[in-house]
Amino acid sequence: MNRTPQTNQSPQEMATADPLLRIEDLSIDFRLGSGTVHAVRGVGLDLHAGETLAVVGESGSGKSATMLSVLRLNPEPPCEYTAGRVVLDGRDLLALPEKELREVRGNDVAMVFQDPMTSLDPLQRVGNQVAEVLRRHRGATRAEARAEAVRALDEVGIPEPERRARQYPHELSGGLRQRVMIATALVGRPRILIADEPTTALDVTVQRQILELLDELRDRHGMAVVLITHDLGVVAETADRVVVMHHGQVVETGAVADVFENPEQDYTRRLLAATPRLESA
Amino acid sequence: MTTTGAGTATAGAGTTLLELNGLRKEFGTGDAATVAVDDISLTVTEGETLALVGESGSGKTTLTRLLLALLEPTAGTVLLEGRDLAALPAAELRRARARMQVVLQDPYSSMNPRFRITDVIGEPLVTHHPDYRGRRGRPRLRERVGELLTSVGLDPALQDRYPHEFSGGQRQRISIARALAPEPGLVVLDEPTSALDVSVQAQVLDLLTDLQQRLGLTYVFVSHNLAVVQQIADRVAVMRRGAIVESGTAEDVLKHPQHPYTRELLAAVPRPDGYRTRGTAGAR
Repeated sequence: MNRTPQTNQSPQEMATADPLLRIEDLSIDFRLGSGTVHAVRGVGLDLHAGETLAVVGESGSGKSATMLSVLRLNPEPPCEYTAGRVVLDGRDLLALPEKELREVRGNDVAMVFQDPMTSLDPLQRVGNQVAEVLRRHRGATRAEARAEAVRALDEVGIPEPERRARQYPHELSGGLRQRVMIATALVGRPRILIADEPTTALDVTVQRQILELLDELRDRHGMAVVLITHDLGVVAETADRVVVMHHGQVVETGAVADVFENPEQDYTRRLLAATPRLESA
Repeated sequence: MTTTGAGTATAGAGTTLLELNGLRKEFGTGDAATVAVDDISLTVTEGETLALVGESGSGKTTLTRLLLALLEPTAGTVLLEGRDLAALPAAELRRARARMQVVLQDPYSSMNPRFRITDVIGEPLVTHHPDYRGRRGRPRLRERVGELLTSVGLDPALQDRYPHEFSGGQRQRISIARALAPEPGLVVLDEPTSALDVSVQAQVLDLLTDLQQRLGLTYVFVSHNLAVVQQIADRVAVMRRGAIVESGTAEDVLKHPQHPYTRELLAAVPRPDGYRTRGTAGAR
């Protein structure tokens, strides 16, 4: 099969339009006691409005370091951005002063991580945590923020949102905690949601619900979603395009069906071959 | 072979290595008691791989702790080679435990970081056999650890290194070597590849299959990954809320599931060819 252009109404049509976010020739070093690790080496990628882009790779491939650079969340030191640009609305986020970057975080770009327990404050009711984002970024009043937080919890499919808003993170299941994280990420109405292994710690049935939720929210708000994952099954079921990374470099990019049906690079082929497949009758 | 009813899993021909009868485990007492394992009976035949699958809270980990005699059941019995573990005198229980080893998802947490690999792998040997103890036993220990490393595909010379010097996949090989040291009949593999990259996972699964054939091992394989289970298991028991909802051959359970929960689990697995069915009726 050859690389035919997509004919459906999928975001690939927008591939010719200006990207929402562009990463250009990005290089990241980690200076560690034992030496320098070139974690990311000349990575470039585009993200378009309304699409789900999967960034896949094995551990150490540089997939998380690349995407964390969008919000400059890699700890500096040991991280050092040695080359490249991350361009959003014509501005290089890597060159932005911390104060302006804080505006970007939460407003334009939000993140969801694998383990919500490490990102949620165990001593705060979950409703307050969602509300705090609104108060900080939108200057909402306490009452407005509280009402909006309950609406946000409702939107991400949390049953009895008013009761749940008053609970603490440890009172919620892993799936509900991840929904709270997504609600927290989305209340600022970001244009880009970066989800770093958002379902890896979850049971498969819960994973499916969360992936469907991300799809639904993307369509409703016209967000772009970046899904960082090692799971090619998750990629195949949710992403429009895929970026395959290996040893800090992009080895292959394309529409999911094209890359999976007809991988051009040996590494992509090996990754696909190593992925266990569930056969049905 | 047909799928058996809920609660039991009966093997076909072959010698029974392990038999669980009416096993029940409650945590807490009275009204506050939680039933973690609820009336489970199953047998494991010598040389086979039985997979226990289920989501978090299904009781699969508690069940493995019961069968390894690391937990005492509230009711029911565990028979290893026909003998009730609860009725064994201490010395014999110790010997029975050596026949059953376990490999965990994260081997690093169970390795003493200050031990060289010789001692990480050799620990069970030193515990069970006086021959391997002290200065005099050292050459013998090193030789045996070298053999074990070779059998899991690692260079015997690596035994002078420390656990942190190894990758995740190598550490899992080391923990398999340690499990094999007391020459067990049964190895419980608790999510042994869940923390590994897919390419490494494939190698470790191949190694496990190869060792099983060479050494005639019996595996109880605990996993939430049904694609991996399909690759390695002869039989599958699906657990939910402490009970077995369905069990049978891997072929029957995974390709012709009878219980709605098994079907739900199978349907939830993301498939690497999932892009083919996206956007079509029922897929989303």
